[in-house]
Amino acid sequence: MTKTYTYMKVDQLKEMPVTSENEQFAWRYAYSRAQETRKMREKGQDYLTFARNQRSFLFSLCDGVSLSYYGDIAARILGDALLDWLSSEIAELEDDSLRLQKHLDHHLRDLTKPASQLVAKHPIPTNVTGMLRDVLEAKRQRGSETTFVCGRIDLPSTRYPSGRIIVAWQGDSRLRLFDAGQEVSSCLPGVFHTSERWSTLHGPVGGEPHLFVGTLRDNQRITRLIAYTDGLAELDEWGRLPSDGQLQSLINQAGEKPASDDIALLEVSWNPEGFVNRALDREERLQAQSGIRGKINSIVRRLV
Amino acid sequence: MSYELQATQRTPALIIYVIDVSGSMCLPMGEKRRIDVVMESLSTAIRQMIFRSTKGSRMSPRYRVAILAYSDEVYDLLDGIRGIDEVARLGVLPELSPRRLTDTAKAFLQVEKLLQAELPFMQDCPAPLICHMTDGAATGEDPEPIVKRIMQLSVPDGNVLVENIFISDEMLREPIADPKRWGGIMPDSVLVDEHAIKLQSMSSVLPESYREMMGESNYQLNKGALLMLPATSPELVSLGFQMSAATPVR
Repeated sequence: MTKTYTYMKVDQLKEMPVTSENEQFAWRYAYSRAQETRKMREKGQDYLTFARNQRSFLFSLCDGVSLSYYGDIAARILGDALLDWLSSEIAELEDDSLRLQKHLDHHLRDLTKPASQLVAKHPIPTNVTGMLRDVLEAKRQRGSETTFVCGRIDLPSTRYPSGRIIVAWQGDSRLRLFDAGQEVSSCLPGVFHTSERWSTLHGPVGGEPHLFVGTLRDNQRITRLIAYTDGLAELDEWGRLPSDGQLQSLINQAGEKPASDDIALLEVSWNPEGFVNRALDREERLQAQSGIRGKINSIVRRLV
Repeated sequence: MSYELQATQRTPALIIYVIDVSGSMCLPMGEKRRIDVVMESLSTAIRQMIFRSTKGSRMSPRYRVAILAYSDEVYDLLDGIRGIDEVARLGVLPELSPRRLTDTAKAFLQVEKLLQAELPFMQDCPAPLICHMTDGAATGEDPEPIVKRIMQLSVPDGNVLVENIFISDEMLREPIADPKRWGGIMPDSVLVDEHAIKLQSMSSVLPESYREMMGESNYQLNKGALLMLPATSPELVSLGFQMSAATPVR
């Protein structure tokens, strides 16, 4: 079944060195907590999750805002909710960017109710007293916040002959697109601004989420994307993407700085020309046919 | 000299508050005494530092603080320089009781000693900031030469910053209608109070990074404005203390 995904969530309590994997898509990812967070053996406030099958790759990458109430809560809630949305029927079948943007905006607004309930219930340790407790309660009133970048890549198929890419974001987490070694991020509309984010209290902050829908090989050929949080801002200066070793070295160096921040990174690449899996196309057609056949049988049964 | 180093646990910012507790601090400001308005604003600034230092429920002490109150003597309220996490554990700030005179020079001499002891260990830290709050002319020795010496002390991030919050109704020709739209006091602004003019010459220029932080709270201070506030209302006192805690953080 093409719709069945294999999921991956990074553990916010430990480091994940640069790890590369290769199926229909090739991807590499890494996770590293800020130095202070590692020392205290606490959860990082970045969150990365992704899912894939033979035809599609979905991901979300969130950077919890440490000045908000436990930014890791918002990052985790939103990261999982974005992946749910990306695997939903609307994200699978709709390719009008405005309709997708509106739908995502509603989805993120609807999420505030259960998310706010989780924030309200989240306990502050009993040993936290005095001014610190007052400050944390004040933060709780303002909610938990996170920036995000998410996306879905669909390889060419009967539905999307040139493949399809959807990416959405809010805030200053990085998202870069490439055609082989050439960066083509200028096709992304909108800004990556620090003041934009998602809040458990308000939903999207700073306007609706930015969203881009494109094909993989028509107007602009896209063969690779990389998303990472601002803890790895050093990577911004790299026009060509580094090797695994160089990337790990960059992550290690960033982690040694006094102002080190959590780092989450995901890079995905694909071949937009080479993948036409006839077996999958046949499987999809059979599924569609059996669906129609099932409906006819059901009507016939009711009539009889 | 960029004033752009971030305050972190490994490179904390040092802020020294120097607070005039002379007898006139008992005079009313709105419905409260001046001293009470000052303590509330100081407490708000400390909470702001705690706010910025908290990740989850853990504090990474990005600030170190000393509070010196002065009249005819200097009172070290925290008994030296304390991490913001230690201050948070106190629960409340020590109370201030107004005394008689305003020996500003004596207070700044103590600041100078503190800085001379601290600066060798602060080479990777943001430039320290001295936040001085007063409501009247200094008695005793002229503090200006001492403050000028302090302003010459430096770390690679920049010279020590001196901010002055002056509680006075007679400092500006025109009152500030809306603090959020006020551009600030410039080095060449004409002030009408003699003591205010002295404080003007004892105030550092607001660093760009601080101005940007204040901009995030919707204050529109001009480029090149001084770290000097005419505290004619509790809101302006509060602005002055907020400014003291505007060291960049991640």
